[in-house]
Amino acid sequence: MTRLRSVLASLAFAAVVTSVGALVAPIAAYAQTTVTMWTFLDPNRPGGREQALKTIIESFERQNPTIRIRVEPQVWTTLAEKFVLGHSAGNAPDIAWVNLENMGLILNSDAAADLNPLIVRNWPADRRADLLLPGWLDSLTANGRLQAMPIMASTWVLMYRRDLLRDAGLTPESLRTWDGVTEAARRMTRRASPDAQPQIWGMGLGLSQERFSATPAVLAAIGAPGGIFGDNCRARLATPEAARAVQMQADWILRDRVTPREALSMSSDDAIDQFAAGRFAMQIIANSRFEQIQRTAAGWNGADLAMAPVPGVSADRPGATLIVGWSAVAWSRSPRLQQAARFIDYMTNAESMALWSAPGAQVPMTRSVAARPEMQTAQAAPLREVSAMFAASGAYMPAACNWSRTFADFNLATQQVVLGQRNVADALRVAERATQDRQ
Amino acid sequence: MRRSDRFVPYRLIAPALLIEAGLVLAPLAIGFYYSLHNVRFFRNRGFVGAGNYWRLLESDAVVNALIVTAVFTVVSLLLTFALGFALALHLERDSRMHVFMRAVVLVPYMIAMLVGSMLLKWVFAQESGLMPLLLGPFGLGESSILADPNGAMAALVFNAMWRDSAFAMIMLLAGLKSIPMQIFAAARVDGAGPLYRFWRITLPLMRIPILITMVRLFIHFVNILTMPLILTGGGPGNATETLVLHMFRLGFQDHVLGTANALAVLIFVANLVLVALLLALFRQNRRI
Repeated sequence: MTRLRSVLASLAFAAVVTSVGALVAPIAAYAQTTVTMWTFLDPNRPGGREQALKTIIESFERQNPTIRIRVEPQVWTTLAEKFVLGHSAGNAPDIAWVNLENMGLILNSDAAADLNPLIVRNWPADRRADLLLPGWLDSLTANGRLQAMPIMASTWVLMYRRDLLRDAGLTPESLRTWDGVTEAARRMTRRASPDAQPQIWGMGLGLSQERFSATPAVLAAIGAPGGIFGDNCRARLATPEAARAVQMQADWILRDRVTPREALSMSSDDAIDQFAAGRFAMQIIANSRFEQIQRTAAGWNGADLAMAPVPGVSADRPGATLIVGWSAVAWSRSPRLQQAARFIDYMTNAESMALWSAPGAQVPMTRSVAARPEMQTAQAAPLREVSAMFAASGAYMPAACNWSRTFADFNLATQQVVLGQRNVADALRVAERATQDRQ
Repeated sequence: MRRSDRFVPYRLIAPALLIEAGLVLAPLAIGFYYSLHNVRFFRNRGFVGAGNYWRLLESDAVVNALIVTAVFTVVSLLLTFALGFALALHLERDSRMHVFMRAVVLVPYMIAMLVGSMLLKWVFAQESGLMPLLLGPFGLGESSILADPNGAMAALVFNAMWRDSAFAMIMLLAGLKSIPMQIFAAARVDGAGPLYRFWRITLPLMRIPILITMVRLFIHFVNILTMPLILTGGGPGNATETLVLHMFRLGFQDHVLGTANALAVLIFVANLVLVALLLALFRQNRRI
């Protein structure tokens, strides 16, 4: 009897607990906020950056049990456009990642919330001092409003083959100026006979107007005093420095014969493929491609791949290390703005920055991360090198200006000069007008 | 007729009309509205009237694109049609070999346009393609087809011909099959030779399939985007930048949507005028 009573009591207790649980569970679920984020990364896929994002989200959700982060991976090329269109339609995600090339879309709309009062104003004094690229925050600020928070940075560097440079009797010191690069390209170009088509071209270029990237002409023009944009985004492409740079590229094809004429129709990706296939000795390439080129090197040893800063006009002044990359934007009309800002802050704090660098393999963006032991390994050497370039000659494009196709305008100018359709000054005036028409 | 029956036809066409209004007329109206405004970075910055249209008409790039589009369309149309017709005539018989060859000819048309253009880009590439191997014996191994304005245009026309002659062949083959064989037999009995039969029987009876094929190919070539975008990137030196590629760049890369919409409206009107002209040319002979 006693046993029966205790069994009944246990059952009654279990029933009460289940009922209470059933009542409480929806309330707890209701109290949970889901923040939606658009990014090009999918945390459920393999890869260093993907795993870094996954770890950051898990850690954030542990520390903030009432907030859930839902990642909706997007195609990176149209992410910014979709975000601004979503804003116009009233259904944008709470957070979106935007690359610097498309930041003009954000800064020229009212889609992004001001992150100063939400994040930066609450920072401890030493957090800003820890940033290696504080200028990036300034470049993302318009009318006193910080509209995006930098997450990962990259740039363009001069990649070259150490073996070919050595065989040409040169040292990396020879690559400090564009004149030095031209001479090195001449000596690194390999032909079976003086009139034959080279087996290895000294300098690779991708000059197509589609799938373009930074070229020496673009970087030389950006590195000139005053850059390529004046006040109120007035385009300044027809400058003497830009003219010299475009002429230099045309000369590489026509006079020096260190770059194939085929470069006129090559996209940036085509040229990188040729570089990896051993057809080019040097090329301006995004630093993020370093590991991929090492891995896909065909006909040469990937360990011979090296990088140098963008050359300057003179040895005492290095070229521009143009900083681009991804930033997080919070939607200005998000009903979960506070929670979104909290996650953006978390995604860019010291712990997360360390994860972006390892396993994410991104260039350290804070001094504390750059000083960590995992950044002192031989494997992390390329990241350290780029970090040093950022510090030495980092340059930013004015984010509010529309420079989405300015690189292509430079490519068209070089094409027209090579084909004899225009002289350099006219070609650059056309490029300047094309860029200006987009502002 | 009962009163309620009078509305049956309207009810039957109403869904089609609604779909047409929603998917064609509304976007056209919205596009025209934006073409009269300064829309940049997806923001409407005010009414500019015909400003976008004047800007386009004064633009050297648009004039160049117009010439490129005209050259590409006319040459591609003629060559594609001629090749398609020749293939249709040659593969008309239903022997096993001819049926097999028809399937082979159709392969380029069945490959996605984007993939086909990428394949041809690899074929034409001087550094990594097949062309240097094919042209090498003729001393042209070092010429760069895609880096030369005329070569790039020829490559673009070849791409159009390679892919779309199969479409022309199918359309024209259907027309050929519908001609009663007795007419040819009677002509043969009367002593008509192959050329005479072609000019006097085949061509006159093929007017409608020819018209449909020409109009369809014409609209396709005027509005083509994928081939120049992937194969030549509009280059070199804008030698292959068509009007639609220019419009695509204005809208989706430059984010100047007001001007892009103005160009879209102009292209739409030009399409209507040119197709009407083509129809009028065929009607002139009172054959249709």
